[in-house]
Amino acid sequence: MLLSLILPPLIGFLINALRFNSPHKKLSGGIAVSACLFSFLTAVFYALKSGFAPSSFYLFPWFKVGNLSLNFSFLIDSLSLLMCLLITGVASLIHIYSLSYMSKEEGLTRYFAYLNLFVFMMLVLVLADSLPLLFVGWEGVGLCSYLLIGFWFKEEEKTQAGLLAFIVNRLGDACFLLGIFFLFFHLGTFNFSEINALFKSESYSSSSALFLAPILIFLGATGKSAQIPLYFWLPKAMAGPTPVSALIHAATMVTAGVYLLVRLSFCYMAFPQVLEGIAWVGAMTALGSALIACNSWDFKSVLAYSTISQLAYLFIAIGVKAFSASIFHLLTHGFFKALLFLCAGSVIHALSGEQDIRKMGGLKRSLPVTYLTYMIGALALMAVPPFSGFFSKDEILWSLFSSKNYALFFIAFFTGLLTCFYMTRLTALVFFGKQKTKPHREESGLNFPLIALAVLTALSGVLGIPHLISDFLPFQPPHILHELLKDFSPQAFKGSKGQEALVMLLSTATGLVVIGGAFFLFLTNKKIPIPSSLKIALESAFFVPKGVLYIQTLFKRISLEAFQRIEINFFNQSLAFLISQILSLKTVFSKLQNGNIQSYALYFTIGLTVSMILIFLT
Amino acid sequence: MLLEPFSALQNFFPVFLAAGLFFIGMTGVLMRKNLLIILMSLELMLGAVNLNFLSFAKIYGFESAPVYIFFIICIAAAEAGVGLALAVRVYKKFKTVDIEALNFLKE
Repeated sequence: MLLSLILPPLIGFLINALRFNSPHKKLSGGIAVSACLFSFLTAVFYALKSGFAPSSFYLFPWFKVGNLSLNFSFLIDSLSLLMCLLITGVASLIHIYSLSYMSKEEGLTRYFAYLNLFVFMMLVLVLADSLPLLFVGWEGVGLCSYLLIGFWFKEEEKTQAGLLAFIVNRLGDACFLLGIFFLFFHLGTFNFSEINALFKSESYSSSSALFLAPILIFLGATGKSAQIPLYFWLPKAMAGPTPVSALIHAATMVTAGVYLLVRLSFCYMAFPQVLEGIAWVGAMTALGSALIACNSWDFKSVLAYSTISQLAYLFIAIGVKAFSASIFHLLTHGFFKALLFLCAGSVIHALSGEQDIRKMGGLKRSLPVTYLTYMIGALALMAVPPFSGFFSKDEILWSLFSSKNYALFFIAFFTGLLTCFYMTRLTALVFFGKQKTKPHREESGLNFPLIALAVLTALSGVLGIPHLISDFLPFQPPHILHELLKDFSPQAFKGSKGQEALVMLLSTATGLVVIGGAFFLFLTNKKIPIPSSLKIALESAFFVPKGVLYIQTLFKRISLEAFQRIEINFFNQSLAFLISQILSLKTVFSKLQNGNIQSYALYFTIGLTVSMILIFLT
Repeated sequence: MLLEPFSALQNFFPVFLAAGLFFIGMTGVLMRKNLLIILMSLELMLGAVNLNFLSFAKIYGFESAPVYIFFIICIAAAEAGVGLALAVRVYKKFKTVDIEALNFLKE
């Protein structure tokens, strides 16, 4: 059962990797899509059969060192099964989308091989039952991300972007690995269920050294999930093909950090100060990246910053122990952000590679399917009811409010308004207004995944209908995710119904006002006389993104240039020293090899004598 | 007697002689420049080995040793034939038998 879930992408990868030079390019897409679909169907079948009951699968012993023996075994519970469904489902749709989006590319087989390998590694990551096995998947997806960002390796800028992503992730991974060792050093186990059980039964907050482990693991998560301080690689990662941005850099891989933190939820709950730090890091990231998104002119770059901002929401939610709300938003965000990226891909495809939103406009009529599906995705991202984003974001906001973190609540609320602003700006500039570039016709092959994802985006809210609403509905649907993820977040968020309704109405109403205002502002395009005070206020608001950009370069300086310094001063120089030593050895040895038979005979004699002496001595 | 203190080593005198011969031959191979003298030194080394073998065979009572000795002498003769033929070819080709001039394998 487990093998038929996890192996098909690996087999697809192997087949495509072996025949990467084959002239039958069309076949590779078929192999990749069927492998991915097979996994998805298995996951669905398993979910229906087992009803999300936890079970573990032991494959074979991995290694044995001292008294530690590690098994290659997997754990399927509600959390990992949900992640599997998201990964394989979205990946199948994106594979199908890639069939027509990438059909004219040269390295099509290579592309599909990487994509399948990514799905396999991601499944290993979410199904692993121990930290080292998770780390295998963690590194594997990082590798695939690097390979796919630099897919067009002939353009230097894109390979640079791939390298940046890889190196920044490396920094995070180093921290993550240290964190794993810290945990193991103090607890003596790598297994997730054992770690969580240990934290559940005993209180560890007194031991100060263990305190470092969750911090280090969180730093690893910031690398993978693009949070401050390691977030600047994600916008650059958009250099890869758009379906890759949708799958890896929006829907699945970047959520790995969140998954890890939820997986270790009991470890984190033992350290409330660390959780508070996580929440504040998330809040800063959410606000900063939303501000940058307001000031960006690249279609994919806006979506990338929006992704960082939404991921930051997940971390804020984790920071207040709202683990199930975090996973809920992770799922809905996976759907609608994949949808938005694929729509961006369709638009860019129709405009033959144009990404600047200033050169777009009025695409509503010429790209009807893209327009409609995009609107569903955008409305979900802006948390407009009844789309899925509304439910998940509202749950996060409510958990912030009810746990009395009013400062965090305010930041998240304000970021939500900024989200409405920049998404409306993007929509108005791309789909409304005057048409500036004549697009090609929509390709029918691109439309099916868009529609499927739009349906998922519109409907996935039913996974977590708040009690406030479900009480009014005829058959009172339960909050499905709370039921499934009971084990991970024991804490329930309670408050008066009046407050809950107030939060919900306030965020929705202000969101709608911002959407309306921004739409008006960007559509009329300065024809209306804006009051000068408002104009000054707006312009000064745009200075903030510049400040944020400055901070971004500062971060880049600090982390990357420090890394470069170390590389130049330590690694390069020690390497140069080593090389010069080897070169000087070369002159010695080349003198030995002088072509004279008698000197060779002399070496032979010396060698023989020395070995005879050694034999007699021993 | 003069050799009284060494009487325990009496049986080993041929071995020392063989060792001396071997070292003389080895020095010749390593030091002399003339190809023919090197070949002669090689023969000397082979003779030393034969003597060594025979004396150890006598000490330890190994009866069938002379059979092996004849084998080695045969092979030494064949080797001398091949070696001399090679030396003649080398002289015909390069007009010299100086081993130092024959270093074409250098680099």
